Amino acid sequence: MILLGFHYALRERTRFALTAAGVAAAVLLTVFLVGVYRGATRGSLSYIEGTGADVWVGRRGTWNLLRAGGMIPVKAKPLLEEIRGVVSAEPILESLLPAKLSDGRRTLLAIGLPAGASLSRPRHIEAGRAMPRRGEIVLDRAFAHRAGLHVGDRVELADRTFRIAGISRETNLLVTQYAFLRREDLESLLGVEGQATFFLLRVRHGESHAVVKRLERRSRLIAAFDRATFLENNHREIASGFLPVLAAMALIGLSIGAAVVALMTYTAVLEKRGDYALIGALGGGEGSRFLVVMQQSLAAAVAGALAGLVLLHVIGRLLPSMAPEVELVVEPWVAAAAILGALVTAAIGALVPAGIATSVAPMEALRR
Amino acid sequence: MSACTLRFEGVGKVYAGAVSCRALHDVSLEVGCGTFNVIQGPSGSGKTTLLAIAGGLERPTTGRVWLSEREITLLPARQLLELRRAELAFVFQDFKLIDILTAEENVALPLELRGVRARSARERSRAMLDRLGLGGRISRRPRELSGGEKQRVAIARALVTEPRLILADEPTANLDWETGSEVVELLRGATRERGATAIVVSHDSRLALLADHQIGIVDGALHRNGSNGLPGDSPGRMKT
Repeated sequence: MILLGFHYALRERTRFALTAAGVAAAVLLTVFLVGVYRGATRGSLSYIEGTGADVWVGRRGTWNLLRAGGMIPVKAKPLLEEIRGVVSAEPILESLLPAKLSDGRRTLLAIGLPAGASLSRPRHIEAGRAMPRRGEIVLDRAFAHRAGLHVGDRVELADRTFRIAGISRETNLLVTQYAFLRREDLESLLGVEGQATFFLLRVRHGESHAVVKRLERRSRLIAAFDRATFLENNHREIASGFLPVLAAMALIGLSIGAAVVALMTYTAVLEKRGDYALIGALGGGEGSRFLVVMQQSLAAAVAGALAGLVLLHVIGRLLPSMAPEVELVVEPWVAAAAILGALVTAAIGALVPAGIATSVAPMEALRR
Repeated sequence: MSACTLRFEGVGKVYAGAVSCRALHDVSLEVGCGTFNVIQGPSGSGKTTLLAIAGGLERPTTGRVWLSEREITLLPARQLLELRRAELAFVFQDFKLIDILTAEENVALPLELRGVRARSARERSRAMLDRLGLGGRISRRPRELSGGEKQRVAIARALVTEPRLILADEPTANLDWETGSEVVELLRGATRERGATAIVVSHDSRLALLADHQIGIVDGALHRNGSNGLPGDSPGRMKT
């Protein structure tokens, strides 16, 4: 196989570097956004998964953790536990509340935990305790880092001061973060009493679906979801806000990458038009010339994609200190998809220049 | 007709455009195997067009061309390409070496275009450069070579595929007399050693002295040229 395209790519370093830089920027932008999306999704779902609740019950109209339809009296707990298949029910209260920081206010997703909570407490603790006492709070680490707060410090939440009992991980939703306090404290902040936003149920093995049906038959005022459905609903909530922006930005990024590749390859083909005529005169068919152009573009794409991923890695290292609420999650398949995407982008970008190269008449080699 | 004979029969070429241009007119010519032929004529006389048609790079507007008993004017593009790969090689006035490739890589290029494995192509390239006295220049890029060395690399590139027909377009134009003579000797040597046929287009009247056969062309038509004892049978129709 003729390797002339790789020679062009590697020996014309400035052009190669500029093309690779364009691809790297496109890959960086796209994978960064995917990583942020995956990070926010993990933050959202990790807490729900970590509770181990088999069934989530909310007021009718509830759709996911962020879209509660109203409140249910805590005294409904024994009624729920009476339902066949239910092992235990744990009420939590949830609300968005402003926290006061030195540089302004930020909103936290406050979860009010009942005394002795077994399901609803955060599972991943970086420092301190998972279960706050009255007057205490457990903060997400991104929020704590951003605010420069540590275990034992105090933070003002809705004009009340709480002592930080612990720092949790995987509780970062990007636009907000979970904070855990006692349900009684949250009730006091909200001015309600004996209310819950959700009941987290443990049910007998394999009975989640049946329990959901029984709950819905028992009361038309509640909405019940098995764990998989509730996770899916929360995933959709994140995706609905994120994916359109992500798709648009990815499209823009890849378009820019393709445009850079197209422009740089186009100028390379124009500059080397005589070489393409020569290749034709020496017995190179259209396929050979197409391959030479594609090799240049694909070499730049691979180098650009790898450079983009390396840059992303560096950014990922810097983020916790620069923007702790932005959590990047880049799985290997995303990196592989980025390289593949860069190759496809580069191939698309090189189509027109390759078409020009193949249309150069070999006769031009004889012209001076 | 022998296996490497080139024959033109009533070939004409008109370039269409806002003002059409007749480059060749009723050219009939037969070039025998193993001969070193020089086509001479003033600028714009149709020499390069003749060469391009002989090499299958251009199709004639009228007439027919045979090479190795195949009528190349009838061949589809794919087969014409195969023919160029199998039987033809070009040498250009301005060397047409690829500037980012070394001498070795330049010579190996037509082999790689023919599907020869890179390693084998490099070996054959090195051997050919060695034969042409460029064994110490294989890693040099064109900008690091003199004009004569560049043209020798170009000739090595032409010979490495062992063509039956070598088409050279003003191969000595950018060289001094001595270097030009060396280049011509290389081409003549190739025709003698390999039985290949060479057609060389040149302005250089001294080159004609070294030719087996000399062909004159003026305003797109062949004409009898008395020098060198050419056996042309009539204006516009020649046999060498």
